Amino acid sequence: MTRPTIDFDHQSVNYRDNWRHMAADFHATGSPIAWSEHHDGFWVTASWDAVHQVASDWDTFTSVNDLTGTENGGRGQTIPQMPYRLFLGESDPPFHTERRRLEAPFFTPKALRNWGPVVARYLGEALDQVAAKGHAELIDDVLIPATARTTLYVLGYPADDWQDAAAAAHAGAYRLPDEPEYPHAEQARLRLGFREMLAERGKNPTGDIISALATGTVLGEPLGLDAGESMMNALVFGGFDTTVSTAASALIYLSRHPEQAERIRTDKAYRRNAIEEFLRFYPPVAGLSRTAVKDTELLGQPIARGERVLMWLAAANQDPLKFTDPGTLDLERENARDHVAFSAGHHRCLGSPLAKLELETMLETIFTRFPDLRIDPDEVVGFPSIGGVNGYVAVPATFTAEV
Amino acid sequence: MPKVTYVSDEGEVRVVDSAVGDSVMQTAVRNGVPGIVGECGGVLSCATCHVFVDEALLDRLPPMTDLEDEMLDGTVVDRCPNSRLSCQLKMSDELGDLRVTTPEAQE
Ligand code: HEM
Ligand code: FES
Repeated sequence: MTRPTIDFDHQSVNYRDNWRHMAADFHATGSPIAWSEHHDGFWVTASWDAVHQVASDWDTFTSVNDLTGTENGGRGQTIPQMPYRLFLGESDPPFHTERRRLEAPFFTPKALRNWGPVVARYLGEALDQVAAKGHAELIDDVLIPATARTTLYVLGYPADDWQDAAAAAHAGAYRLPDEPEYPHAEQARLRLGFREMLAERGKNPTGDIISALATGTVLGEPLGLDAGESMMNALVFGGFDTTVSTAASALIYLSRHPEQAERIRTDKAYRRNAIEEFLRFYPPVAGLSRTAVKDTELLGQPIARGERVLMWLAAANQDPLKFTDPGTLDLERENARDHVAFSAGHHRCLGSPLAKLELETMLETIFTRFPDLRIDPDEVVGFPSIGGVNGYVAVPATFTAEV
Repeated sequence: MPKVTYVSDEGEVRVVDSAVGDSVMQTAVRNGVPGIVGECGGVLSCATCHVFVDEALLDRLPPMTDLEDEMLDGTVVDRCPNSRLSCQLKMSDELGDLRVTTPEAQE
């Protein structure tokens, strides 16, 4: 059987400029699974069903990033493979289950009730800084400070030290580790700080996530500094640019659709569904990968042991078998919440309730304070590469100044 | 085919046939029963599938795991002795029909 192939590289300029067409063409083949020769070769699938199958069957499709070659040969969550191991995202049960339960209590519905005022305060402070000016750079002046301070506060990290963390996360979000501008030194410095903080909270726990990691055990053994550092790293670097880019996409759209913006501001049920549809239509994460640890089949296509499969999440959100008229943004779409912007299965984004709370607060508050928010699409600058996170470098906005 | 009876916090009753192997959460979501969200799809990481199980049926259920027990501490309406996360309740012919009450809120 010859392999169906596709010229697919999510890190390329072609992908950045044409991904929606590529996704639609792939679905039109009727069997959206094919082999790409880029990045040492991998399968890519755009099928919503196949994404669920791959994400749920960890026994066949591992998340492990086996950098030392001593485990199962898994090549991790991202293509190309990353040189830094994510101990939560790039692990399988039972380790994954035990690590994740250390952080899970901080993202439950009950915990979220505590974070609501925190989200509102940091956003309010960021907006106060720009309100009298009548113009703002939404990414740098509003969205990054608000999300960065919120995430750090939730972790138990001094939230006023957000600038270094945010800069290192943002600069890394659209570059690959082998590019000269990748913020290696900045990230290394932060990670050193994470380790010091873990050691300190291990002695004096304060009830926050860092303390839970510092004192937590996994299968009867202490979690350890390497895993603790890596899990802090994931929270800090995974939580900002994803949320910021969804918020920015939604604001750009709504600034040109004032009636919808008005409903977002006043109608909670509408707002919540709209956020699901924004996540479906503007998913910040292009895709994530798994490695087959045994010979298997996906959509009838044989997959050999050792081969990787990229779950093209952004395209699965455009699967016509799941979403009618998928290329249309419909803020009242009934099944919008079935999107896979947060992935699926046991690695499904742990921070999703916090991300949605932040998005809700942002859209409601920004259109309440600046009801005539204007964004000139010609001045919006997107990331040069969107294979990791599909986000923005600059989103300048104007509005009637508060007096 | 086992049946699930869902009673809302305001006393509205919905009776739904469930497929064997589906959970009480999946049965609700598939049939549009309000009062259960199931955000995480059943992997015990969201605590938005909280239900109160009819006391009389409680000991017929499989015991809860430590993880379910921990996640139940995070529900938005406080847990009671008959609380369960409904994604962990798989329907079967042996288990038979179930009756659960949904809390006032899940998120
Ligand atoms: C709109 C915003 C966000 C999006 C689209 C997003 C997307 C994702 C995706 C796709 C995964 C799955 C990885 C996989 O399947 O291998 C993931 C995992 C994760 N996310 Fe998010 N994320 C967002 C915001 C956040 C926030 C705010 C936090 C925390 C503060 C967070 C923390 C995590 C963690 C800890 C994981 C790892 C879960 C695991 O492997 O068990 N995310 N995220
Ligand atoms: S559906 Fe998420 S815990 Fe039950």
